[in-house]
Amino acid sequence: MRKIFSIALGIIAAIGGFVDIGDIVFNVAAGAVFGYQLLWAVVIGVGGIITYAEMCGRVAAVSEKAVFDVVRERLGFSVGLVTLVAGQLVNLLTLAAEIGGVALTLQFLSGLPYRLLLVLGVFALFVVLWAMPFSWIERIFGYGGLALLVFVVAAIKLNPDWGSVAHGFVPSTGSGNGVVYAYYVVGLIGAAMIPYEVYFYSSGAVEERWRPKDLGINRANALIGYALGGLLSFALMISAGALLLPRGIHADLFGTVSLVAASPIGQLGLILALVGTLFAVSGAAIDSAFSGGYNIAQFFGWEWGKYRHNAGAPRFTIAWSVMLILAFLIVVTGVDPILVTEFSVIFAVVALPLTYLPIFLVANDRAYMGRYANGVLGNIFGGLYLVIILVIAVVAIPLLIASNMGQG
Amino acid sequence: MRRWSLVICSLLLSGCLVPSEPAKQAEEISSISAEGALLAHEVGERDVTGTFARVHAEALRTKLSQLEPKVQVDTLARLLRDADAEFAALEDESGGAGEVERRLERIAKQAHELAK
Repeated sequence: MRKIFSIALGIIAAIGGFVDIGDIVFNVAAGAVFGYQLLWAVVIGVGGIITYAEMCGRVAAVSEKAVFDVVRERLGFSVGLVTLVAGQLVNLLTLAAEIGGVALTLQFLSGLPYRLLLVLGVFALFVVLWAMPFSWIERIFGYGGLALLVFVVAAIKLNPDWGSVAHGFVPSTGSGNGVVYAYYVVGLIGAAMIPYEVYFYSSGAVEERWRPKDLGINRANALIGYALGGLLSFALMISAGALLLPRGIHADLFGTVSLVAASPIGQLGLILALVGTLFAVSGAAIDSAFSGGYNIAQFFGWEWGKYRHNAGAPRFTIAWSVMLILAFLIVVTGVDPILVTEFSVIFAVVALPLTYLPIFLVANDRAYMGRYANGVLGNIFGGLYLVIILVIAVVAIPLLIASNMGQG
Repeated sequence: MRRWSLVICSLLLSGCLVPSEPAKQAEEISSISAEGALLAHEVGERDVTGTFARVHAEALRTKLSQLEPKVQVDTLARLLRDADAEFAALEDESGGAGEVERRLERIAKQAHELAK
């Protein structure tokens, strides 16, 4: 009974923790421009993160090694270092975007100046990172993010054409500007599969001392948690498609997202949307800051982990602190967090193969994983997603430029 | 890689994301005004808090102000100024939300026609 309860709590946290600023921005913007036509791209992205989160959780449980241990071991120092630099740059941009999202959300709630809220937000994040135990962080921000379920209610209340919604789950080339459409396909898949999620997931598995007996929890968290988390992405896109597209509103401001919940539900919808967003982006900021620390510590073989406490892993603590400070310095310049979000997602797409290939190789290695190596299904999905990742990594930056960042 | 970085940096720094073609500018004004009309509607219905309305109206005004220096067509410049005045009214709550909503809807429609 206790185990089932623990699994349920993990799943709930995974649902609430699934959405971050990249998902919010890309799903709402895609819905505003293309309605429900791109729901299939979210399905592909969610399938990808389920496949690889399960794989890296399994690797961590069996080998007690997280992603960058594996990267260093499999790719060697030179290629591993390139992966580390790319991964850290993407983490930094993601963290900057999330911090900007925290400050913007706090501004909608308080009306205080943006830069003041940036300082307060970063200080609060630092305190949480420093003082809160790992399991609390995971649960508190995951549960808080569940307030975003308000978008599921909003999507239903906006009464979309459900036939068109169903049609959106069938892959198509879309109507309208093909380059912009392709840009959103890449962005939606990239936002769902953003690398810090697997860095954090696998390191979290080591933090929580998962062993092969915990593979059931791993499978449940990845499969059910992320799949239900994907519901939030669908809801965001459907709500935006129903409300914004008919009015010709492009969603390139952060406030538009909450307006989508306020319109059909009222002030309660607005408050829940803002609170849910605050927890989701704060949680993602914490995950990406820790990921920065995890990656560098694992790569260089330093002591790492929240369970060691700050003094027990000083270089790890310094690494995530530096990430937080650098990200703050980026957003405090006044650069638009939405713009940073789009860049972070597109650059993340470029770095995806370097992150996911080593996980696939190790998860498939019977000498390493024994009877826990990938089965036929794992190899089919893992291989398929590697091909998808390679294709979108090649076209991501040309599409960013050709589509003028989705503006057409 | 370095070449791509340069292209992206210049794209950002040159303000390339602010459209320079009149049709695109008209579309942008239409989108911002339509969003303003929706916001004004929600203000009238008390679906949003005063703080949210003020902060979001300010953000919409900032978008208009980024567009302003690039707008060369007189009709568009006039629509942009009219929209800005409506946002100012929404921001400081000096105009009736219903009136602001109707005027912004009209601006959005006119700009949409010009975008065609």
